[in-house]
Amino acid sequence: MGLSPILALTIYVILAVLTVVLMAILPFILAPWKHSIKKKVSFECGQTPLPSREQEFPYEYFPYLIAYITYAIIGVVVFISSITLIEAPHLAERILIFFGSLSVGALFIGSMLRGLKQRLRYEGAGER
Amino acid sequence: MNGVLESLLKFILSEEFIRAAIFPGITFVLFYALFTVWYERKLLARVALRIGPLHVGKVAGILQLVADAVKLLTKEVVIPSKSSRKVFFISPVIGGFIPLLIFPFMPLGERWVIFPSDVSLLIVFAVIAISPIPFIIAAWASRSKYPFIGMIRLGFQLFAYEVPLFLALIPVIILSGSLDLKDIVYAQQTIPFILLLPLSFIVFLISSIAEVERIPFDLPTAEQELVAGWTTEYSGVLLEFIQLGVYLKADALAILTSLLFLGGWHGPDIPFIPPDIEQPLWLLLKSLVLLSFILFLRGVYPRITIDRLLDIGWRILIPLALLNIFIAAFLKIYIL
Repeated sequence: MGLSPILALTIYVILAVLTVVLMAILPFILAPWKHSIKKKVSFECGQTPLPSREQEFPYEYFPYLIAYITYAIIGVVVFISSITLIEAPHLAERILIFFGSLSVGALFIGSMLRGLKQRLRYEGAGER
Repeated sequence: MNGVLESLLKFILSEEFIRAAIFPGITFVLFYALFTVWYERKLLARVALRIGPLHVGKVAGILQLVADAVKLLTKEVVIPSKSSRKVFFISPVIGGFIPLLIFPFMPLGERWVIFPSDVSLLIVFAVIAISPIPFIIAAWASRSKYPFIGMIRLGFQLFAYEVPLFLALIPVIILSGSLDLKDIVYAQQTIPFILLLPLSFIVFLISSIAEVERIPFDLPTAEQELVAGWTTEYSGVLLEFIQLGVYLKADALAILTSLLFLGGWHGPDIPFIPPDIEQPLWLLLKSLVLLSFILFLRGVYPRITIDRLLDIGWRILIPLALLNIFIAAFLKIYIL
């Protein structure tokens, strides 16, 4: 690769950075600044703002977390296998069997997990 | 002095500068994002039997966008007192910048690419994959309840749909035998991959819509439930950066889908138009059709619930994407 694409990419990145920086500093030059405590209050939909406090947030998505980790690893393995399929055609049939097993497995799991929903647990109310 | 001016002029008129600064460079990218906003307003207005932007600018309210952009640029930057101030300011700025880095690697024609690479598809996907992270951090930095709930939804949505988005690319890599977007387009000279890999196209399109948080997958910013979701505390130029990032990503994904599945810049010859102009014209026309579909959904579909959203992502799209990889490998080994 010659210098030309690298130069073009460098110019593009510099121009993109300049655009973003210019946009970011423009309000500090142009905008009227009127200090007010009310402006800086978090949005509360017209309600009186709540003070800060620690509270358990009842989200339980562990099945999805496990699914994400599993499928992220499978995704990487499938990607490497597809590259192998291109680079080493003599292994094609074995890779095809691997892809077939994965597809059948994923379809089976998908059908078994029907109705898998978010599980919300309310403190003192048990699981719903 | 004349020598310096001459060198400067020569640099400005050089092919590298024109590519980087004008087409397919930064000017084109920003104008395309602006056009998308205007096009969405007009399209949704037609769907709702309204006229849309009309008065500002002589042609179809085209200058309304400029007026809106100037308004946001000249508004005071308000940073909530409870927020993490530096992170609150910097995250959307980075979030608006990262999608700009997708475009140099995407060819808009045989000649029209800023940085040709053998692994351009992987680079583009990597940039798309990291682009939501600043937005998740921005929502966390708000330290407010609506952005917090929006952030959690955003995180789950992106994790659920990035995996099928990636898996939907693999059949294209198998059939084209390359990670270079140009080679992928060349491989579709006779048959576009949408005909060979319709499942993959559907999975990629649905995942793309979820990736850019468009209705019916706009749970992270669900206006009727969460005010404006993870963007609630943002206004002025910071909101403009967020909008810029989201629209740029929508544009990039529409162009990428056209390159991967719709034959890229291939199309019937148009008389009297040279190939260098014809190719980007076809590609942009295809991406505009896709963009119309993505934007049109906002006018006609209701929002789905979060459990349904995760169900579609994990239980339906991923197995379909894996099945399509098997089909693509079968086609590659025994038929093509």
